[in-house]
Amino acid sequence: MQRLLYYAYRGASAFRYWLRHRFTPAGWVAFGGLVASALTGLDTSRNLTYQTFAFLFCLLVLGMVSGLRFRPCLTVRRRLSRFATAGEPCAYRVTVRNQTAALLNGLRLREQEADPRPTREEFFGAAGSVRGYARWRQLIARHQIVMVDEHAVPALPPQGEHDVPVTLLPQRRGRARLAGVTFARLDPFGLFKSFAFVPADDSVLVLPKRYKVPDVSLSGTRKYQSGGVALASSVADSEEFMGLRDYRPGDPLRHIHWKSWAKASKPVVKEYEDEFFVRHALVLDTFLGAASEDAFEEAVSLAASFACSVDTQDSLLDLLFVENQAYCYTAGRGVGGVDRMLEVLAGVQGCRDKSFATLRAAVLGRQQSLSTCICVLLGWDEPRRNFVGELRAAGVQTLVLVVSDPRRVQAARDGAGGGAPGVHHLEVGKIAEGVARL
Amino acid sequence: MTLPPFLLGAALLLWGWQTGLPAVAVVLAVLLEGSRLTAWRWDLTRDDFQRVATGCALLFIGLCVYLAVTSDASGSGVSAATQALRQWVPFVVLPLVVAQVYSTSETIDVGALRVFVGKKIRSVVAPSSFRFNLTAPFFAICLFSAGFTDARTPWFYPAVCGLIVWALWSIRPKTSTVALWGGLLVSAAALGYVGHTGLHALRGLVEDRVTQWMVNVAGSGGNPFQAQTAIGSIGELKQSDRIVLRIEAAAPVPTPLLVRQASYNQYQSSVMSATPPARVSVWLARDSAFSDVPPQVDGTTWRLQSEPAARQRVTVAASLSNGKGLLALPNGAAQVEDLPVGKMQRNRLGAVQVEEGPGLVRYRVLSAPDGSHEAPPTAADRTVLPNEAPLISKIAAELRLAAMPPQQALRAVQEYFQGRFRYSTFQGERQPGATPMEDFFLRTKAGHCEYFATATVLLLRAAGIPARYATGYSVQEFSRLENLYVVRDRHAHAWVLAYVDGAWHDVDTTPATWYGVESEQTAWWQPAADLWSWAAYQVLKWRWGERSSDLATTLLWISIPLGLFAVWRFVRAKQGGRVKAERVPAAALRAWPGQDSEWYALERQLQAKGWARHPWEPWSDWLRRVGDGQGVPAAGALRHLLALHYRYRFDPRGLSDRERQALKSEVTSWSAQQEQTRK
Repeated sequence: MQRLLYYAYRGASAFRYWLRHRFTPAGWVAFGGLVASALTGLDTSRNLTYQTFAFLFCLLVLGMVSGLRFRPCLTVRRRLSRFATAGEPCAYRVTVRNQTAALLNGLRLREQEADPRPTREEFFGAAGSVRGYARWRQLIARHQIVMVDEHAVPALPPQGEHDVPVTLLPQRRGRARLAGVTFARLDPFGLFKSFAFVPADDSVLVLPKRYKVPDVSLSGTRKYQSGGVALASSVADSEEFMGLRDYRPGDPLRHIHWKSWAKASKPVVKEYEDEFFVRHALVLDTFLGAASEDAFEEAVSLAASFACSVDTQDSLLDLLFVENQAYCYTAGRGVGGVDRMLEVLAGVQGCRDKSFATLRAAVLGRQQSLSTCICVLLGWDEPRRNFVGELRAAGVQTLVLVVSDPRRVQAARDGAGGGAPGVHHLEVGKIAEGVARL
Repeated sequence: MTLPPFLLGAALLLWGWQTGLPAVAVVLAVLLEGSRLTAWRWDLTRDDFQRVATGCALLFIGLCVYLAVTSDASGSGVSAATQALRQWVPFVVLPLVVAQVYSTSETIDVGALRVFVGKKIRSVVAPSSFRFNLTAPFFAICLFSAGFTDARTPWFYPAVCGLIVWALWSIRPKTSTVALWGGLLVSAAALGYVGHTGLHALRGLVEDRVTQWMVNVAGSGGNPFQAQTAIGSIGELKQSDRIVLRIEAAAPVPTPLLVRQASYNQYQSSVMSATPPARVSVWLARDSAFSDVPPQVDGTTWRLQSEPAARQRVTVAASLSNGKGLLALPNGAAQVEDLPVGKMQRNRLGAVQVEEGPGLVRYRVLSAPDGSHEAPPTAADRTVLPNEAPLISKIAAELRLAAMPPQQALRAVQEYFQGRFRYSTFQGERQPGATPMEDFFLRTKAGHCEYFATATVLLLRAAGIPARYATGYSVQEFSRLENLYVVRDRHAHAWVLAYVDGAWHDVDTTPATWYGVESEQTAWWQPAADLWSWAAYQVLKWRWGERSSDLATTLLWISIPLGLFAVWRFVRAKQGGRVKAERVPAAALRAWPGQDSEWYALERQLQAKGWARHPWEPWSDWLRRVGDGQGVPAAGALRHLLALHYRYRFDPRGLSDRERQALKSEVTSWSAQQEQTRK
């Protein structure tokens, strides 16, 4: 039964795609008229709509048949950037080359994203409140990272080529895979389009949408960083050398000064000046629970916005979240770039099989080194309230942003601790307004 | 998609011509196309469009109500009302189209079509990204509605083809040559003609077959020519409690009152039925062609006997499916009154069918309880089937029916069945080789009314008394809720018409216990279902009642001022929003220095050959590219021409006459040279 349902949905999606892309607006009107006259014109003795049906049917069939010979021999080459941003148009050029000895004109070009239909396992394994065909559509929408449109291709001379400006409109973050380019040509009536597909694999990483975040005062005190910047990032070595001292158990191996050991016949280590600097944490709550996918996406966008706005010249920024395990990415003071952090955020997924305690443990384990913490949360329940309380009790200055669905935002505001200082409730769909009030 | 000028008006004229409303169509066409003649436009917002859409929806509902209440007065059925509704669809959509063509916006936000949405919700619903021009769908609606007419004019198809071709011409792709386009269109029109002629013929063929099939599967009471019985069927006979008739009587009537729908004169056992494939017993009405019954002067009175001497008067309420049905009439029905149907027919066996009636009829029947004096018996009313004859003759001989006077024979037969048989809705397996009647008479001695009626007919015929098999309903249940008799589906009954003393009399030999047995099937929720049925009956009475035509007229007269008031309110509210569209003269838009330069034609010529210029590419770069890499001949000469063009276009002093002539002649000669090379 599941198999039947799955293939029925696949078929329905394919038919929907066919209807949407194969017909021109005039073709939609003709097809709509055809269906309406077919449904109502059965009683041929009482009306004449069956005559309209017959003519429209012949028009559309002839139009479709006339496009069967459309087999252009074309090659395409994209000049596509690696990154795009959700909600921002991404313009690039596609070079189309005519491999035939005939002039090709009247073509239209359309980027073809990889098949967005979910697999069977993905569809039946997907969790969520919506079921049935609505769920199917939701998954398809999630896979459609970019919106593509048709672009006119100028007349292509024999063996000639032409650059076509193309614009993608990224809808959501993630990696958009472009399977190839579809060329369309209208039938002689202008009702139906014939398609020819030219494979050309490519991809573009769509970074999360970002909001304009005001300068948030994150004045936290500088904290001792054990191991200095080197351990903060696990790369690079920019600490200041102070002198030599005897080895003490627990000193890192790479701090041993081998020459002095050889001279003194006992282990001697290099001593560095202690590192004190400001370290921020950007905590992203990925535990969907009762929160919607929209709220999660907004939370990721908020995190990306703060990742870009926090000054990482003189401070470090840790991005902490949980997927299948707790992750921490550090940027700042030359350790890692914010662009890398945005790439991470472009691929972050919601977590349903773990509890908030996992994130709490990961953050509180670093509280000694943290100066300030920006928490982007998906709710304001007791575990989250306690977590924020523990952070503040540990002297970490904390800014809390709770992203809620419109129907839950008021309850979150009115709930326990909802109006506490430093806690801001943002409503899905009005995030920009909420951020502007920070 | 924008339609060419005057196409919408032409489509409206076709609609008006087909639906018989040419004057209305002319007014509407002038209204729509008139927008091309005036520069005045309304500055309508999405909310305004939504209000107009709500008005359209109200108009649609009002039209539905109007057609619903007037279809009775016109005598047409539900299908006629639906047909009329489809015809009027353009009229319903028109306000929205008018709003669009007289607005500053050329398209409508699809969100505006969400009707009946309050201001509070409208304010929070974001505008949809999908906008569309309503004129193209409206064009399709006009063609669609124009087809809903019975007038079978041969010009409809050419007219529709012509309008569609007109619309297609405006969107013809540039790559499609006129010859190809025209050839394919002619082919489509020819194939469409053959196709629709074939469809019409196929539909006639299918209808004939389906009609035949329906005749075969129709159950008892529904088919005046044949009654398929459950005689011989195994298992429990079950019927629903649905109320099918309501009978009112001014004076108390003797119950059970039998109301007949049809009678039959030829019995056939073990006939193969098509659906489901099984052997069944049927009663057929032989030599029973229907003939018209003319109405009386008032159009609602129908006389069934030439000299009615009726003493009993009952009112029957029944629903008619698609305005057609068999009337349920007491024996001896002489006259039917207050029956607003278009056509009545009866056969010689007493079945009366009507057509072109309303959904619910409430007719008065005047009848003579002493029987029907019409249609004397024929040989078919005396015939016993050869395979049943030995058994029937034997039983008739045992009862000595042949020796008795008819009245006494009737009583003897009734006593025979009352004393030795019992009523049962269940039939078990039949004895192998026995006919259903043999099994009934000799083994089971139990059955439902069809067994008793069939057996009685056969016995009476064996006794020399002409007899027929009658089907209809037994009226026994009085409803205190409705204060009338109600007849349910399970009250369907079969009995006998015996010809005694020159008249046909009802003879019912089914044991009287049958009613009690049938009542045991009543569901516990029946009172609630009856209450619902009563409410539905009250609505139907109002819907199909006499006052409906008055109500329709009243509604119409109320709706006209209300509609005018709504339009006035809308216009008044929008007075501040009326603007004059700033129409910049087309000539002014096109007038720029160097507009008539021949360079543009030269560029188009190169572009058509595949040397297209990128939108961002200056002409000089373009010439360099196509000259160096793509082999445009004499690209160097073109640079000289481009320099002249630039001066003509941008130099405030312009070109001298000689230079202007040089630009013209050199471009022309270059183009001619290219054409020669091509040939």
